[in-house]
Amino acid sequence: MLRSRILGLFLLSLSIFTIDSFGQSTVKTANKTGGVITGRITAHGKGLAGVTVTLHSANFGGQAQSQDLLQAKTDADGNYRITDIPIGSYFVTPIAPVYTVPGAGRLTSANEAVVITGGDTVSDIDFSLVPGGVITGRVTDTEGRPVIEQSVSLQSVDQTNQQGGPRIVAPGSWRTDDRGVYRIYGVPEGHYKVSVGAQQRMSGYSGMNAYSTIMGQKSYIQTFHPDTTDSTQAAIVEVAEGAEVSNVDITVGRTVEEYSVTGRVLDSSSNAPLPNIPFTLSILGGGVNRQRAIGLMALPIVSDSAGAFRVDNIPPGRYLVSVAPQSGTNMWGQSQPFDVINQDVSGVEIKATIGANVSGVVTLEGNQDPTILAELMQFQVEAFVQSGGVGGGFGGTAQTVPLNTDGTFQVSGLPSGNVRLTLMPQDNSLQGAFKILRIERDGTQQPRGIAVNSGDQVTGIRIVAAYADGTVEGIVKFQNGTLAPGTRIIARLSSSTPGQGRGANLGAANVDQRGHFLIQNVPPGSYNLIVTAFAQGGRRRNQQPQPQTPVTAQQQVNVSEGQVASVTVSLDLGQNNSPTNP
Amino acid sequence: MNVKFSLPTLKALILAAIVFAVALSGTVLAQTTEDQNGDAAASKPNSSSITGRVVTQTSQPVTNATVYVSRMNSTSPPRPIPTDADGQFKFAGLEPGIFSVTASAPSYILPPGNPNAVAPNYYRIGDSVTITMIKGGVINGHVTDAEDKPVVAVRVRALMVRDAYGQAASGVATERLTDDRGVYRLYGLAPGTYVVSAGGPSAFSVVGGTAFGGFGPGGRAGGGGGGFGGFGNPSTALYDRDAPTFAPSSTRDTAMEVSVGAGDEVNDVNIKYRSERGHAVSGAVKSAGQGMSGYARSVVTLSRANHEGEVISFVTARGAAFVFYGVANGEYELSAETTLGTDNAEVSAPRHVIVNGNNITGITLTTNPLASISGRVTLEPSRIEQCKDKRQPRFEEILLEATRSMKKGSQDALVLPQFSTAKGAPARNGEFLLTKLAPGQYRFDTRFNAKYWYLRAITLSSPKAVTPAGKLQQTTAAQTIDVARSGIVLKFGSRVAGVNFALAEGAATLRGRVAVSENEKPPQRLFAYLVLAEKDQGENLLRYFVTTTNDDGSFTLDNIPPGLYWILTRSNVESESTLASQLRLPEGAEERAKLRHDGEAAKSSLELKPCQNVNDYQLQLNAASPRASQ
Repeated sequence: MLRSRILGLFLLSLSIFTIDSFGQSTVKTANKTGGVITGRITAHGKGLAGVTVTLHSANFGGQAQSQDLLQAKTDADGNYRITDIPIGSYFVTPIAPVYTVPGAGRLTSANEAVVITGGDTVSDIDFSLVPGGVITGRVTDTEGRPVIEQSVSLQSVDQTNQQGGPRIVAPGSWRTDDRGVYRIYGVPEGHYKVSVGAQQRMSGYSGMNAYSTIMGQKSYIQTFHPDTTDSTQAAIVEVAEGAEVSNVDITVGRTVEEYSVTGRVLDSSSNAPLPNIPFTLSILGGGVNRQRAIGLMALPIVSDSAGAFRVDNIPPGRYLVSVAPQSGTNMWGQSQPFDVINQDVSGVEIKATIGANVSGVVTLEGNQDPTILAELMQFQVEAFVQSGGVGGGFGGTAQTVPLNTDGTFQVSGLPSGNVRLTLMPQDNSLQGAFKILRIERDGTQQPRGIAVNSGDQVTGIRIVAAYADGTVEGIVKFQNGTLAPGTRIIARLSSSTPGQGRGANLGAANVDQRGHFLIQNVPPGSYNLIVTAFAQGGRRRNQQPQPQTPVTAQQQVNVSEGQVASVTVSLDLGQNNSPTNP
Repeated sequence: MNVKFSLPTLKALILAAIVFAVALSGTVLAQTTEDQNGDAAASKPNSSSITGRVVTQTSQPVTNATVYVSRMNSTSPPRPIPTDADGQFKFAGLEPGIFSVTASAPSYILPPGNPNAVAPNYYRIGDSVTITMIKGGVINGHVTDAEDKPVVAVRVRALMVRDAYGQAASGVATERLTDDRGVYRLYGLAPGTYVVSAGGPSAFSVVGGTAFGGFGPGGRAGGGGGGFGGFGNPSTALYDRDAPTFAPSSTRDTAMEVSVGAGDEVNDVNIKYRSERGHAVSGAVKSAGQGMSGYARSVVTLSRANHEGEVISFVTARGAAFVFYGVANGEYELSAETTLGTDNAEVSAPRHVIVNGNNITGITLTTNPLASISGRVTLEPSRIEQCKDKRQPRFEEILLEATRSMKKGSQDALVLPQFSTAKGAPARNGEFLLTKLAPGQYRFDTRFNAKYWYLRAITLSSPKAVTPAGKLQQTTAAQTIDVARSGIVLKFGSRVAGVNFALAEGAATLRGRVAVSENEKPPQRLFAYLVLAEKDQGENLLRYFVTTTNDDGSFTLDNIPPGLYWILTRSNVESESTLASQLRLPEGAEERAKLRHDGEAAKSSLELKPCQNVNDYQLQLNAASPRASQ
């Protein structure tokens, strides 16, 4: 659905920006106009002093964070004022890890989108926080020895996740120290089950478990406070605001059984063994058949002179092994999925074939300024293959190759599947400077990627890029209703030029609570601007899920090279209440 | 083409690499399972495994230890194996080769190595290894701000500046975040002297990397300990651009030093955080060679000037650009290393940088290709009766080592010390490749576990030195160079081919003890010399041996070429040890002549026959001629 795709895009871009947040920026379209954001941070109505409030760039796939994080500290009354803000789309985040957002289902920080389009002052960006609680305790084994560097997780008893399963709060990042002691702070008030060790059911977490055991760490079967592996028997810990609950101790028992997997990798045509091949392991999960790869890891082994390989320390689960993509090896191959249940597995076979080869050229459409062309040639082409069928989903493989001086490129050793090509900058300051308008294969557009089979030699690929220096600046006028707090509003550009790929990310941005938005790094062209408001997710246990239909509006907008296009859009908040809508 | 590894894997690789750096000479005992005489190629059960146990100093199993075995010259990362409840481990399915084995366990460390140890221990299949670990030390305290409020979720780092022996340490740092009370706890510290700091970037920064594959939210590398759930970690980002504040509230120059003994817990190392913005140091890495074709990864290191072990942080540059944030005023050195595949690397000479109130941009680090030496090992079996049926060394189990020789007073030691040695094992066909060597003059050594074999010669015949420009250079006189004597001179980009290590069968072994009368204690720490006695052999440097006697007066020399020798002793005092180390160098000519003269005068000759084992030699003390004062 449109909604999930946008959310997916949102989340993907969000994670990219967070990790790339240390790049240098040359904000091309911004002038330092000195926008100002003010507000107040309070807890139960009382101002919180000394809290740092920061701005993070909210540019989706656009340019990365500048070096100087814009920030300010609250005064004795909880007021803050951030000044000298360049034009841009931001998230305002108070850094107060001891506090949490009221009603939050997990440890989280508050943030709010604010768009600065000129020398405006945006006031009343307030945050109301509550002190989080602390849960602390000690994890030991049956002999009283401390269990060290195991991660502790909280399961909310009050709230469930989207699928109605247990809502995991704070997975992975809270670990016991050398005394076995852990301490989790900023916990929203509520009821929790505290556990350590591998979760059998949650597919993502069991992936994490496989990772650590294969890397040689012992993993315990999930054990809840105080000492049970049965979650229905787990003691419930009640956390009140600002309170510390101590002695939430856990005694662990058995470690997860681990087994070995052995097999061979052969050339599929000659059946000759292939030595020195590195592998990746895909962990399969998702639903009854567990066909989807939910995790991927490179294995610390290579095949020996007889093409044989051996992986140790694999916990029970369903897996497959593939040839890892590596420079110099053009082979690709994947085993059948296999189950590790309660004994070693042997005879896993990989038949490897020459991978597919994709070659082509990157061209620039529009402004042919040699400086801009030179910048484009510094990019690399990333080929991501989402293998359909078994092992698809999360388990894609990606390779990146540089461009030759004439813009040509070649990627080899690709598995069969659907190849998606993107441009990756070598230098963070060029992030978002170009957008791909379309990808052609021998003149025909490939909006859904390029289908390849192993051994294919695909040529004639053209990646058509444009310099993305335009901006769309706009205001959304809300009608027929008021905006509920916590509503996320996204403005997105989709190409209205016939034949442009629907999947191309031509620009998206948050709309703030005043209705302002700023989409930067837009290539020149004609677009449909789509504004969508989503209600927040999550629900209390035992409540019926409320279907929330997103509210949308559309508008045409034309963007010229290097120009700012202004647009106003009306969003009818009552559109789904009308009798004509089912 | 490059490969996206999941960031947790990268973290594990970095962790493993750091573990290796610390583990260079841990307390490891190898018990070879071949029988004492090395006779007859017995096929052992489990002959493709390395087994062992990880224990504490009181022989208790270490809980949750992970053992890593790494095959020399292998392209794959170290292979991890967990230990069982009794601390036992087994690596099965190994092919012959030379392996290093180390272990890691949460909050445990390998005991600091003895600086006099000869070399890290190497193992072969069939070996059994006992690894002893000790509890690491702990440093804890709290971090407060100017208003005495706790600083929450700030990264605290302990950096070792000197190890337990007072030597400059190799830049290993441990990091964790403070909790809601501003309290931090750093554990698993090796004994040594540390400086503790809060704030500033992590030592494990990956610029321009994306977490692809891998698990869970975020996927940031490094910096363990309690932190935020959810995407990214805004709290630590808050302090990442700051110059670190050192305990108690200082810059690096006036930082308090904290001494940590094995298993110690040092409390109240408190820091009053100064919240000072650091500066940025940035630039790009360029290659002086033909440039990088295909996938290449560069690591740029910023370290404190004149303290090359004190690494502030690494940045892995994606492509060519790098940036370090949170750099305090001071003097630094920048160097870059670019890896192209497993056997090729380029490095830049260290670049001195002074930060004084401003960002520094536009630094270009130019890398030059490191050199390599290749050739083969040849085996010359013997037909003599006494040498019948003796075990041959396996090519993959022969350790070859090239080490840069330091001339007295030269500056060589300071230039790229980490590339001044290379080790390797030949492939199954006897061919070897030693790579990643910095310019300099190199000498060679071998180690192999075949009792009846000796190193007869190291030669370079018809030298085909390839210049960096790729032209073949043939010397006018196609002769055989005695590399054991002259070494090989390398420049940036040298590719020297055709080096031959000739191993011959027929070695003798000499075991014995210093001859003392009934109640006398043997003199402590003597040198025992075995020097060439045959006059017409010229100066074959491979016929000179020296070893130190043990506390009980016993000594062993093995893999000795058969022939006639003088055997004599010298007391092991400081002035002698330099001379002993020059025994096989051209500079030691005078010393060798003296030894031969003393041997002749004392008439202490010894003839060793091919494949002879002398087990009970009584070594007479020489009336050691006092050294003429210099």
